[in-house]
Amino acid sequence: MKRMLEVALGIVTGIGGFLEAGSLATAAQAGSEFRFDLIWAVIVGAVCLAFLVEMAGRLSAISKHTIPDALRERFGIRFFVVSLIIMELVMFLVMATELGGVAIALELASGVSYRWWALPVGFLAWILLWKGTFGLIEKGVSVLGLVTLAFVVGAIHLHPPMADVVRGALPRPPAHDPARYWFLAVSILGASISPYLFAFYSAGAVEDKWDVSHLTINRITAGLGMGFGGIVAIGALIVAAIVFHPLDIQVDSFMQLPLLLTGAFGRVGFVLFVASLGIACFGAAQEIALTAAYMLAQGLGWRWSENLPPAVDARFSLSYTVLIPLAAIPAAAGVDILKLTNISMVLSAASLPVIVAPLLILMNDRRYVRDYGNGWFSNTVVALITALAFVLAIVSFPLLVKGGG
Amino acid sequence: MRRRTLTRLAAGALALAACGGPTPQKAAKARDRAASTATSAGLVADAWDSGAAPGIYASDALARMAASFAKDSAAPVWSALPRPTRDPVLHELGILRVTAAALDSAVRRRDRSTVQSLRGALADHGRALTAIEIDTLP
Repeated sequence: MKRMLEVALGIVTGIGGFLEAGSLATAAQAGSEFRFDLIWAVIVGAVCLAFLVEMAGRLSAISKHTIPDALRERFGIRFFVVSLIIMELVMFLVMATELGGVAIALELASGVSYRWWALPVGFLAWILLWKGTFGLIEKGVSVLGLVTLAFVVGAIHLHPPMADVVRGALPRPPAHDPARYWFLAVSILGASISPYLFAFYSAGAVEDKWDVSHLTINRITAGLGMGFGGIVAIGALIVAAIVFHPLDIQVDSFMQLPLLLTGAFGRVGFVLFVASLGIACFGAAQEIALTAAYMLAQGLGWRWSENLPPAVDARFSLSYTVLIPLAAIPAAAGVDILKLTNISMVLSAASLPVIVAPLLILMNDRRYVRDYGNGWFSNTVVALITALAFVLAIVSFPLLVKGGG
Repeated sequence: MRRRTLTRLAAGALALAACGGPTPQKAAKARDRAASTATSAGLVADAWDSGAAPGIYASDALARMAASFAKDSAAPVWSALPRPTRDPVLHELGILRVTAAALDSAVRRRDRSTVQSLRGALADHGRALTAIEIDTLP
């Protein structure tokens, strides 16, 4: 019974935690500009994430290592420091995006500019991390994040042409504006396969003291949680394709996005959108802040745990205490949050090789995973993901310039 | 040495691509974006009128869209267009800015009849902007 509850909570966490500023914005942009044609990118992203998350959980359950400390131990301090710097920079940008997303949700609800909300939101995120436990951060916010299922209900309510939706699940060349099409595909992949997600998941497995007996739960949680999470992002894309595409509306501001749900649900749709954006971004901001602190602490050998009082793991707690207010600065300074979102998602995609390629080696190293290493199928999938990650890293910057709008 | 040269080449290529001057293609994209903003402003007004969106949101969104039209009007991208094309574009953008601002104040006053008539004007000028042909052939 306890295991069933763990599985259910894991799946709920996956669904509620999947959508955030990046996946919502990129799905809405994709749907409005290319109708259903980029559904395949969301599917590829969700499948890749499910595999990577499962491996991160398995690595931690068997070896009791998190990804950062395994990276440092296996590949040495030089490699670790380079990957730490890249990951911290990307996580900083994504956290700034998420804090901006919460601030925008508050602007939508209050009419007061998001610039004024950024620092209070940062403070609220910090106080919850300071006072809360890992369970509260991981499950509490994710359960609230189930409100994002409104996009799936909205998509069903709008009766999409199923034949076109299914066609969109298969990759094909764009009908127009190829640079923008591939830019959005890379942004969607960057938003879906965020490196922070599997670093966070791996730390969570250690926080929750997983062992071999958790491998089945890990597999189910990763597969179903990320799978259903991907369906939420597809829901947002479909709604944008039906509401915005026929009117030639391009998404260039978060202020347009409440219109996605007002058509289907009226005033309730507005409330659902604001709640979805605010809760999803707040949950993601907290997870990223924790992951950024985890990476530093785990890699540098500091004491760490979100379940310990801050006085006991002072350097770990100080890390997120410094990072959160810094990440609130771009929104407080009035930076365009949608542009920041697009840039951070592309950089997130570009940073993937730094963590995916070493993970492939770790998952085949018997000193870490003993007899639970990757089989040929998992290795093939991760090899493909690694190849995809390298391609994304190479093409992301030219696409950002050509197709970033 | 080789690595430094490659880095410089890559940086130069990126800078060239990013800093390229105004072109008719970029102007056509900017026109389409402005027309999209006009359609969005119309949807916001409709949502407020039907009670689907609260006045606080509608007013805030319309004010931002008016500011966006003002920013578009001042954008250097239009210098790529010949005067007979550029002037009508800037004229429509000016009208859209004024209409969106007027919609914002009508929403603040809860003046539904003015919102409905301005919404029609917004749609007309959005269509007029889209109808301006921009020659994007090299």
